[in-house]
Amino acid sequence: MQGNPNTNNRSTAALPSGQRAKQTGEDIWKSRTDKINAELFTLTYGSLVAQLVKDYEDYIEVNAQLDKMGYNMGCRLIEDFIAKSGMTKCGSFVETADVISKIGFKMYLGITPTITNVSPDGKEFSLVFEENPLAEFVELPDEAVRELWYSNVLCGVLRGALEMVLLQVECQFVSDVLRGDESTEMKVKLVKVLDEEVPAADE
Amino acid sequence: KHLNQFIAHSALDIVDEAMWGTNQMYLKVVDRFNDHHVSAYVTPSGAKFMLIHEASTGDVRSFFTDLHELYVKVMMNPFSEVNGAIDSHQFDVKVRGIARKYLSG
Repeated sequence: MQGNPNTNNRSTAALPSGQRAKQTGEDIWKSRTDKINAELFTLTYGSLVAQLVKDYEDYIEVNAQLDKMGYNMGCRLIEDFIAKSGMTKCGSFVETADVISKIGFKMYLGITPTITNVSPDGKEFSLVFEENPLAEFVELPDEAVRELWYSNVLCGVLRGALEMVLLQVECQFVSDVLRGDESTEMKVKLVKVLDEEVPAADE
Repeated sequence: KHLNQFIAHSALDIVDEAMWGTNQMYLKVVDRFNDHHVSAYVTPSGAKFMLIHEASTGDVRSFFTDLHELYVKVMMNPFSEVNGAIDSHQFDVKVRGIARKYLSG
C-alpha cells in the first residue's frame, strides 16, 4: 500500500509473530484511527465515574456497572477491531493476549500493556499497565480507595469483545496505582471456548 | 499566628478590586499589615491565591505560577469539587515542596 517493502501486514496468511503484531498495531495507530484530545477523554471518563459514584453510592455496584458498560462497548468494538486490523484466528490464548495488547490496546488507547504471569496451561495471563490514559490526574477519595476499581470498564470491554469471538473469559483488576499499589494489573482467565464455531475455511 | 487568617480575609476585598485593574494574574503585594505583606494571584477562573509573608521573601511570582499548575492538576481530578476545600495530602506535600524551593522563609 505504501511502497514500503518491510511491512507486509495483511498479505500473508501466517499468523503474526510478536514483532509483526507490534508493527501492525503501530501502523494502524498512526494512520487509520481518529484521534481525540487526551484531556477531553480523561475528563469524560472521569465525570462518568464520578457520576456513577454519586448515583450508586456503593463502590461494588459502581464496579459492576462499569463492567456492564464495558461489556456492551466490547461487543460492538470487536467488529471495528476486526475491520481495521484484518486479524484472523489466533492459534492460542497466549497469542490472543499478544494481539490484545499490541494491536487492540494500541489502536484504541495508544498504549501497549505488558503481558506477564502466563500460567503454565496458557489459560491465564496478566496485563500490566505502565500508563493508563483513563486515570490521568485522578486521586481516589479515601472511602473509594479500598473498593473502587477505577478502570473497570476495561475489564468489561475485554470480556465483551472476546465473547464475540467465542472465548469466554473472566477479567478483573488485581492492583491499581490509584489505590496505592505499585502497578496496575489486570488478570484475564479463559473459562471456556464457546461452541457454534463456523467451520474453518480449509475444507 | 491566629491573626494570619484574619489578615488574609481582610485583604480579599482589596484583591477583588485590584484584579479588575490589570490583566495580569500575579498581583504582587496588595496589602500591608505591620510587617506582614500580602501577595495575591488570581486565576482566570476566579480562584485567589493569597500569601502572607515578610518583606524579604524570595521569588513569589514563580511560587504562584507553580502553585497554579498544581491547582489545575487537582481540579482535573474527577472526584474533586469545584469550590470545595482541597483535602489532598499529595497537594499539601507538593505545595510545601515548592514553598521551600522558592521562598526563603
